[in-house]
Amino acid sequence: MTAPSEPPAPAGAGPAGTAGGPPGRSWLRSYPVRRIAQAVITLYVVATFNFWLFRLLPGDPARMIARESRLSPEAYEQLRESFGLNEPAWEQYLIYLTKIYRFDTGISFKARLPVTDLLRPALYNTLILTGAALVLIFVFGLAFGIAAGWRRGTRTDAALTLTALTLWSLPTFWVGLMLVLLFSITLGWLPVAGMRAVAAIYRTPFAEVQDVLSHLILPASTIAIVSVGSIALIMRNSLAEVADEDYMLAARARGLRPRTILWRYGVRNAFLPTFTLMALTLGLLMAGTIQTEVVFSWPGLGLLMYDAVQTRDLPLLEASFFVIALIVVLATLTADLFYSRLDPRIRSS
Amino acid sequence: MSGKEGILNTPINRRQFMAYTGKAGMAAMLATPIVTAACGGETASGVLRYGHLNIFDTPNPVVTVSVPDMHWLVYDRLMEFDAQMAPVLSLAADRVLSNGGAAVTYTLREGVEFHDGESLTSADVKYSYELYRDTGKGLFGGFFEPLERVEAPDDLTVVLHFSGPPALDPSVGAPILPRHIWEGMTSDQIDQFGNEEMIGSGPFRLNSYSPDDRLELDRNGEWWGWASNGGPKAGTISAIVKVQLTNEETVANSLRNNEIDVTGELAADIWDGLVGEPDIEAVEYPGLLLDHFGINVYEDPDNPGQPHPNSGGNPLLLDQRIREAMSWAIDRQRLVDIVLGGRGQKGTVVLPPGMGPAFLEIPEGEQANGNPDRARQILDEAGYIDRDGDGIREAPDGQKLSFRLFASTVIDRLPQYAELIKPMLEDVGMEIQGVFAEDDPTLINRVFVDADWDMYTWVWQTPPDPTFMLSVQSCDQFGNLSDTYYCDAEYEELFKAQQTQGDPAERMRMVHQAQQIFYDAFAYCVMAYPNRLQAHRTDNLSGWIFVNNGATVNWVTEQYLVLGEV
Repeated sequence: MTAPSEPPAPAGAGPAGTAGGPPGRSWLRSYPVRRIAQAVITLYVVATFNFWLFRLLPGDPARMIARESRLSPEAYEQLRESFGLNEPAWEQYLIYLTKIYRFDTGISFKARLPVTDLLRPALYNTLILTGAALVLIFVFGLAFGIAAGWRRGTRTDAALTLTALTLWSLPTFWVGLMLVLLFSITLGWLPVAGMRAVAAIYRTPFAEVQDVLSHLILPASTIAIVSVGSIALIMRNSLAEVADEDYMLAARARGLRPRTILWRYGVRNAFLPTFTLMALTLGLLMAGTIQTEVVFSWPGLGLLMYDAVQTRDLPLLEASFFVIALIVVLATLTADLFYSRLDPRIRSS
Repeated sequence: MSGKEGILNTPINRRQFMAYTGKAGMAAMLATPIVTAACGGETASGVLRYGHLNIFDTPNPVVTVSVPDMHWLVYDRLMEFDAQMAPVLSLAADRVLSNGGAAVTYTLREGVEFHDGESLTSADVKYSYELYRDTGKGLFGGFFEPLERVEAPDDLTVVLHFSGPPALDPSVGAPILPRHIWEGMTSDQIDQFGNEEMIGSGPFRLNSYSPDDRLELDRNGEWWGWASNGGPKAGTISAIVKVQLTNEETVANSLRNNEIDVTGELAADIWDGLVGEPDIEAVEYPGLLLDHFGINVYEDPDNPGQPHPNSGGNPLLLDQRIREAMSWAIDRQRLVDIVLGGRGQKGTVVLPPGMGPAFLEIPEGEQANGNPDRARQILDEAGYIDRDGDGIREAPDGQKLSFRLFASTVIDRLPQYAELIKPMLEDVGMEIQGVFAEDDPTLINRVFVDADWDMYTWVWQTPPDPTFMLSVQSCDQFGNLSDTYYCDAEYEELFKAQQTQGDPAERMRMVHQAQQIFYDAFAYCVMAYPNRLQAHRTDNLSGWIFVNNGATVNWVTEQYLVLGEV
């Protein structure tokens, strides 16, 4: 056994950017610039993919609108003209890119309203839902992961790992339905669907907040239950690896209290991969709330996309997919940039 | 090694972590009832809370293709359907026919105003009807095709001149628009008009609308109908909130949990679950629906008996004997029992029994239904025999009776039908490829545009007049409504003649004859006529009317005059 080394400075504790990697301000600047450039290229590719993907799908959106309406051929053609569907595909593509550049998302085929008017409240509602879910995932995922990792090899570890794996493998819609059955139908504690009670009167602003919170508990818990396992397992494995490090043994040898060893040297060093996963989870949650929003009729982005797919509402589909791509790319970019601050080795690699 | 194990086995850590986890769990458990107990706003009284899978597609009544129940509450019509689906006067106080029924003179009620205070006059009616006719848009545009001209000789008189007596006066459905808001818009602008203010003259006015979430309508206290009834009665509903819920299970659970008062249409199994629940009444209404599978009979008019060059269907299906055998092979009562849970009737003709006297009753003994032996006999006599012993019959030229079966996923029961009829058809010696379940846009494109299918399951919801459903089989509807590409000269003549036949008895004779012709062609296999299954709570509101075609589909004004707090 080699002599235990000094424990490394906990991530983020020292002056960032001073350890590892070639020095020089220009290099430090180039990393974020390069990552941002990659993000922009990714967004362009996604936007292009979105455009062609939805046009490759079978089904004529104008025909979808005309389907039940005894629409005359003239009226049908006029409808296609109104929505620019008669233009050549490449011309539609250029118009589409120009509109993205101008943040002009067009008019919804179905609702006949500006797509931004539909997206804005839906995005806001989804952020509330995913934000609440993320807090739950963060708190319980870290707690379970730390508990299991610190007690590696014990019955506690086995039980928590098994629980995490079980939760991870549960279907989202099933968890949602079970929660509704238990907490709404059987116990009558929480509402079944929506974001606010139907025809509710709010005497105070706080009453409305309470109402939204009561509607938020089940969908947020559903997302948290099926997502907490991944965070817990990553944290558990990360902490278990850190526990084997020499500096942990050195800390013990120095007579530090177990709590100090855990939080100052264990958790802080084990947190790095979990942090990355948390950032990515935010992006993935935004894209993955469709099932939850459908089960709970939560009026968010997922529900909007679900409806748009059913009706081939191309402007709404393109815009909502682009918004989600934007959020995922931004979340990834943020994670990368922060990670490089937390772990300077990234910048040097 | 031993040093590391010592760290991991510190007993204090275990207690700490168990304590943290336990505290967090307890906090979550306690927070739930606390938040619940404190939550909420209280529910407003005298409000009808209506849970449905769709609010509507758009507030724009000119381009909407949704069930226009909410539009009809905001916009007046000259006439409307009553609870028995019979046309009755509404905004019009009087209706006089002339010119053999081809001219209709309406006298409007006096003093009617739009929600923004502007007067409603005959000029608004003239503008609206000409707009529907000239643009041909939405649900109502097509019904105004026979309208030749509209006159508005004074503020209260409107004269409609049709090319012949209309079988269904479009005034019964078309909302009257405020000319001062809509006039001046181009066709493109109307297509893209969100109509966010929804200014009409009806008994309810728009309070708020959040797409795909909820629509809130408030009672219009100035509505002319209240005056004729001595004003809104005490306790009657003052508002309607229609919320969009994403699946029927959620609708039913919301009703159970007292989050809504009334549901839209429910599937039989979900509806059954509500029967007997406290404070809930599950109601079964006669419907105007037919579930069928349509067969591709797209024939080349220049080469009778040969498939149309644009058809992707199996040419064998042009042989009526194969289609008849299919009809005999299907046990419709079994379909009704399993798919509809017995909540419907087995199908025969193209109009549903809810159509009343227009429905052609095929005697039980004459129905091509549920007799596989008869199906086999027909195929044997036609020369479709299993020659190679693989269980699948072949035509004399060796072509196998192998067909593709598609099912729309738009309604759960359509794939269920398909899965049930597949073994029934295989039992008489046909090979059924699929079931291929496809979403609505894909299947619509396949059937109505590409004509690339053999059989597909579908549901039609018809207006209470026979014209619409008979029009689906018209030669004029290729590429639009026709889902068989059926075209028959005799049928076509009857269909067109009944549209302008003023004598009701003679018209019914034509309608019956057209149904018989189409039934004998076996281009449709009508599987069932589902009932409308809905439910409402009984502890909040009372006064529900038993309405033909379902209380929340056929919104009748009378319902809002009597529906009130318990």
